[in-house]
Amino acid sequence: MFVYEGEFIKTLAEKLISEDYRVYVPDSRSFIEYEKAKDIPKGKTRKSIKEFLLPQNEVLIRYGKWIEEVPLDREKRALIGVNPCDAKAVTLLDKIYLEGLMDPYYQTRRENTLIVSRNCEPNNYCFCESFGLTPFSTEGSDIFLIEKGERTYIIPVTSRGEKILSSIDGLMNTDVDESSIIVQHNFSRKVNPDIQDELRKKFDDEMWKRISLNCISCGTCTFLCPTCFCFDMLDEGEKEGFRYRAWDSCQFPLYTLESSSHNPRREKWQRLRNRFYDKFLYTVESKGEIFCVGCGRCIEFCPGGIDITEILAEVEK
Amino acid sequence: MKKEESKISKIKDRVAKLLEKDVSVFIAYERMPFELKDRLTIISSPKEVDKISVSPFMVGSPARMLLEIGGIDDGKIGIIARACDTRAIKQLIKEGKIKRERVYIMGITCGGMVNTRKLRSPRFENGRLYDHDREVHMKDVLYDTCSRCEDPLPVLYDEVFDVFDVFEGVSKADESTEEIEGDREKRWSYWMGEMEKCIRCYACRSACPMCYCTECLVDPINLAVSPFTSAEEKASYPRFLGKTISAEDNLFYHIIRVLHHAGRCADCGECERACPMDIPIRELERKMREVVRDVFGYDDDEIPFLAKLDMIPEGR
Amino acid sequence: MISAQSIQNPYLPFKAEIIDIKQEVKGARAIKTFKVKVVDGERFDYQPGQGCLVSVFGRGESWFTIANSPTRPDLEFSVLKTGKVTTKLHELNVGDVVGLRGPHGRPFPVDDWRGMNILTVGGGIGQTPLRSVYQYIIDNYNDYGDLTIVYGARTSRDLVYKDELIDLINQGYSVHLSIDIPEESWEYFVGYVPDNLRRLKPNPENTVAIICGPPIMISISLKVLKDLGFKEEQVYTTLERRMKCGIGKCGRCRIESKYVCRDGPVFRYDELSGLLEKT
Repeated sequence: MFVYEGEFIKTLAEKLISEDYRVYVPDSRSFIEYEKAKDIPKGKTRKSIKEFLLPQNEVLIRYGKWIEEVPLDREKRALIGVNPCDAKAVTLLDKIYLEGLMDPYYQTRRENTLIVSRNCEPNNYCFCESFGLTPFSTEGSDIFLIEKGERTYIIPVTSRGEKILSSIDGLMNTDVDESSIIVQHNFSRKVNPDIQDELRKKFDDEMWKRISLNCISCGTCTFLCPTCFCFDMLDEGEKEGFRYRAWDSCQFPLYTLESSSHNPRREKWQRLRNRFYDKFLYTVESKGEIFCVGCGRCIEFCPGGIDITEILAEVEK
Repeated sequence: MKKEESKISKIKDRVAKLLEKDVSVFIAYERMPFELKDRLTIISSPKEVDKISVSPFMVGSPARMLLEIGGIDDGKIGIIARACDTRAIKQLIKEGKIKRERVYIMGITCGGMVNTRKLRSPRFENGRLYDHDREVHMKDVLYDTCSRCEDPLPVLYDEVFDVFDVFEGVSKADESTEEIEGDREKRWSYWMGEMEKCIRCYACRSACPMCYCTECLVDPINLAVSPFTSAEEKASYPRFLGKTISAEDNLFYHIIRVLHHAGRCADCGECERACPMDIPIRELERKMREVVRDVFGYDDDEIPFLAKLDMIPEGR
Repeated sequence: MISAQSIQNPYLPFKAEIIDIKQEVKGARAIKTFKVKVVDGERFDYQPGQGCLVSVFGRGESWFTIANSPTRPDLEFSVLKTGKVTTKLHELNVGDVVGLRGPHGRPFPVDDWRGMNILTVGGGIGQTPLRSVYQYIIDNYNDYGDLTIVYGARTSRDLVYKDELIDLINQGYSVHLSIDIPEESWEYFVGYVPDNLRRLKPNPENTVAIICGPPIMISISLKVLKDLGFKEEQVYTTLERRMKCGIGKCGRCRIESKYVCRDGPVFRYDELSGLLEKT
């Protein structure tokens, strides 16, 4: 571990900029370019960092007479001030996009993105502890910063992070005990991650119809969620144009609509139920991971008042 | 406040009474278990009235819920409605989406709803609002819609309960904002800056009581189809918008939506409340309302032309 | 078996030229069979049961199961005109170019079936994946046991590959056709496909059955087979869902933990018995 006296983020950002990285830091809504930032608030951003690896719109190919390949995005980016939950979520997204047939667009961005996380200040909506995370978890980050008063402790997590740090002046080694700088947080919300058997039993329960009353089938929870990855592919332009992919949401009413007009999830409660089962049961079956990091954005910003912790507590009853 | 608590228990008794024979279900709000917010709920028996909560933290439009459950039951539906909700219900009745005889409207006076996003750790005790340990004046943290409410009194009701005091100095309805009236270049760059933030989650559309179209013009892929829709029809549906998320396309979406609310918007502010990116969508709707009123002289009590024709299907 | 280009960027389609179009069914629910040849020397090796995503630029992509066996030349797929992409496909002519991505999906385990009897039960356009299987079996006749093809549609005008099937009957293969509604000059069975199946009483011993067609036909045929003694491990089917990327990334075609584009579309019935959601 290293320690740095003073504002490390500024030093790091300037160093990265000098190495041709585009540096992003959080503001209240999402990550913005370092040059435009006025200050760097400590809380969660609304949009997670998923948009840097899987942008909301991504052009796949262009077509006209025939197809033209679109050059892959090799821009070097550094995200400074990422929350531990978002960094963990990136490792989950890797399981989808880098396993099996590899997605070259995602992979190029992933290789060229440096993730510098920082200890966060959880709010009343967070429940990352239920999944083994804490405000100090380093999983998924390249470098981890712990800000304590006037100094910053720096943990190099990957070799890439180490390489960057090795070229920065003013870093001093320290063997301070981690437990003296880590602060425990009392999370008010909890979820039981071993809920798979209960979910299997409760599939046909009437609770789903009752719970989905407040859902308005918008896409807010899925778009803000750092681990949701569904996308749609569309062609824009009849004779010439481009084919792009865009974020999609399993909560939209037409998500499963087939050409024959059959819609397996026509009702709101079927779609809502599917979201929970997908994140807590089906992904466990196919990838061995729960696709939730406990960031709580879906609860905080749901316009209708759906609360994932409340619903999972009811599943267990 | 003791006064408010006794008023709320009066409301609960009244709802229980109504459920005995006058209405078959009642749309009201209940407190969420882990946070300071009241969400919509449906009460179907007098035993459940205890969970009713009436407070400055109510979220969701009961008028939208009314449309959603309107088709399910045959009986009368009771509904707790603030001024803006009554405006929405009135408009829905005008448009023939719901019959007046089917709704029992319990109007309540409203002092405005608190925007809990402005608070980190809100607590409401004895009628006072606290954030952590600091007291906060409710007037300072109301939704923008509420602090500029045109008319805080219900316009359509079967009975009214006087619950909240309307805050003084709250109605700034005539004040136009810089964003809407100012210099043209500045307006354009302001709105394009806001539209950059839009993620097209459609929360605004889904939360709005007036956006009830099953075939929305801006939903790009397949619209409502049935087994009898021919392939040619499906192939030739007009696509006004794809899923391209750019400031221009987002502005296009919002402006189409606002134009479809001309003369219809109830000024409930659900759109702005639902938006996860805090985009001031309501400013556009307010401007639309102003234009409709000032340029066309349209009054909220008038019946729109098309609604007078017999072509509108029977309300439920 | 994926080509080199697919491995590099699985979103890039190959160029394929239409070399033949056959109108199988006319009318409102028209079906055409397209034969395409991949241009630019790219190889497209596939196995029976796999499918590909056909791109019509400007409209989109659609998934089709490849309708002919890899032992036959070129690639064929049958298109039911039902929406945006398929309507445009029906307007194309010989010589036009489409995009092709694939082959994707889990194929029928034809190697495991060596020495066994094969029974295919198809309805309507569900015959398409079955055709690649039975053509493969016919071309490798020595490696397999008896082949029985049971196929039916609503009327004789709705039968796909009719000429080819009648040809097989004339060659002595065990093919049993049926139509739901009686017609003049129809020589074969009249009735639903499951009824025809029940009448034929296939023997479950050392036999593998594949059922493809409309959902209700599949469920009744499965029941008939079970009554005759077939176990779930002996029966296969193909499932379908709305597909977009076709490579297991976009998440749309998921049925619970399985991706239809990657773990399917071929499924064995005992793999599906644990499903919670009714497809």
